[in-house]
Amino acid sequence: MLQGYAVIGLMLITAILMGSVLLLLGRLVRPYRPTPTKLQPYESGIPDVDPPKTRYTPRFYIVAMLFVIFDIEAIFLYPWAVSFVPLGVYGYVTAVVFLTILLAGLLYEWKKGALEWV
Amino acid sequence: MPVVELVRPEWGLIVPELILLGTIVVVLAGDLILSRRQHSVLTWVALAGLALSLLSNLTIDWDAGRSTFNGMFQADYFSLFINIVVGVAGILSVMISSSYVEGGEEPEGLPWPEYLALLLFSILGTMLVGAAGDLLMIFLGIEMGSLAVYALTGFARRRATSLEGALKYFLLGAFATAILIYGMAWTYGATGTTALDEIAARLRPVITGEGGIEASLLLALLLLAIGLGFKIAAVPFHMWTPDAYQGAPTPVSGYMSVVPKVAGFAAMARVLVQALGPLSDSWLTLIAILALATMVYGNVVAIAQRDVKRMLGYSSIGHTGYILVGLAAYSGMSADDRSVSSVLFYLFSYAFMNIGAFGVVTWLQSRGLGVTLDDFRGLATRSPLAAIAMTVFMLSLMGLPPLLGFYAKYYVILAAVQVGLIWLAVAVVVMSAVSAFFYLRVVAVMYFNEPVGDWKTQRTPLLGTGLALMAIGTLVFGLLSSPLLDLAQKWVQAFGVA
Repeated sequence: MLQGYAVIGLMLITAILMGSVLLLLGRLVRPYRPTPTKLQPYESGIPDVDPPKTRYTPRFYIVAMLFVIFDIEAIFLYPWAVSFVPLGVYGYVTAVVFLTILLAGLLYEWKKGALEWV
Repeated sequence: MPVVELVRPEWGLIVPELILLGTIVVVLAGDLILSRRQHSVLTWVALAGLALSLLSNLTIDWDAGRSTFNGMFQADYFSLFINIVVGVAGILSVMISSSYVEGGEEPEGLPWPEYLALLLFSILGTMLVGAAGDLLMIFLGIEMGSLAVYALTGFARRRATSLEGALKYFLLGAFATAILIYGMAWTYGATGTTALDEIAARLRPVITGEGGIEASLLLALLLLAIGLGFKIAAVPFHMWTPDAYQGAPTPVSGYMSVVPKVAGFAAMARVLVQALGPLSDSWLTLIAILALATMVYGNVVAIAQRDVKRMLGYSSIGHTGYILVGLAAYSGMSADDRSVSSVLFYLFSYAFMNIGAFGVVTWLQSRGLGVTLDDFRGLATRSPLAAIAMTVFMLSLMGLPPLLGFYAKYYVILAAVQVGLIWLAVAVVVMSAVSAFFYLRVVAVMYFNEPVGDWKTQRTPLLGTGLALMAIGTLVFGLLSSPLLDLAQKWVQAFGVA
């Protein structure tokens, strides 16, 4: 009944063994001669301006959300536009309902102050 | 140009969900139009919407068990029962929330319309899980429900404990979702479909064939069980529970001890029983072990808690264990298989007693007291009615006849005994005895200690009504349990078993 799970256990053990053995082997074999240039995140790129953990305003997220909404709108409208004729009135009404919902969402965000950047 | 075949969905089958969605839109619009003082109107909008959505279940012919949206959505007796549980739990949660959120128990107050909208979204997601006919619908419903509850947990954003709980809940929940969807991917890889009925149909010939079950199917099963185990807070996937329950605003703790759990169990029943039912030999032992570990851990650790919210958090882990016993009693789809029906009935009763218990904690908080055991001292002299309500909830959670909790446990034990899981049934009884210690301690503190701390008089009519309703429900529904159980028993018909 439960011995079928042994295969899964075996797979997990193999994965853990493979990972640790390869990492250990690399550590034992490779030479280690660090220089400041080598320790930079991007060896041949632009030096860091800020530490990556700075805080930034959550307004970026709201703008990103707005972007995603309109992105999805565009993605949905393209296939509808392509098959506009065969879909007929039913397709038109459905698309209008969809747009109305989006519009209501936009109005909600607007009224909530998502578009004010200060 | 090819002719497009349009599949017109049967809108009539999703009327309860549509009404709830309409209510959410009205609440959100009300947020924009109304001023802050008028926001309490939205309480009635939400209550009316939930009640209408519950009533609209009457318009659907559940006997037909039809599905729509290409089999994505099933309107059968299982989804009816989930709709009822979730609708009732939603109404009760709104009733216990309004005074807490509007009364400013949290620093800087909480926006009531947004709270309501998130609550209703989570309820809608859970209803969708109940009616899901496809793995993807289950995923969507669970996510819709959980994302709203993550936000609600961190709703008191000026209080660090609330944020801590929300962050832990969110990180572990997101992790669990990843595991869940990975399991769904493996299921799809092994069977070539995501439709639940179709998965079962393709698995049936596999298990009767030679050579046993493929490891990929077992991996899928394992991943699905782990992912859903997180959602219902089964040991060893429970780590987020105590912190989230303690940190969340109290009414939210009550809500999330019930509705997301309903979503998790509905998904478990849909996935394990309806889709992976043919593999039951491989998951029954797993679920039984989970059930035992969960109820032992939850009940034993709850003994050490002095914070009542945290104690109820651990006790809810314990109850998850009891409910899992019901699922472990699945015996392969016969008309008298009581496994899923006992789970459904337990969830129904749990809504009354647990939201009630958190409701009393809310009630104390709006009178200026805290949430520790000491704050319950002498409640009986200060407010006999609240003390009686709390006593009813505690005794019901403990499982004292003739309260609702007793019947819930009774049916679970009955289901377990029916399939010969005597050891699990014994474990339920023993753990109920253990749980008596910490439930009765609250009762003892209320009746036999002198009051401490300052008491401020406060009027909370809606909360009081809600508590009264839940106390009465706990008393009455136990005695009237047989029609409910008959309704729950129709899950056999819903899952399409001959």
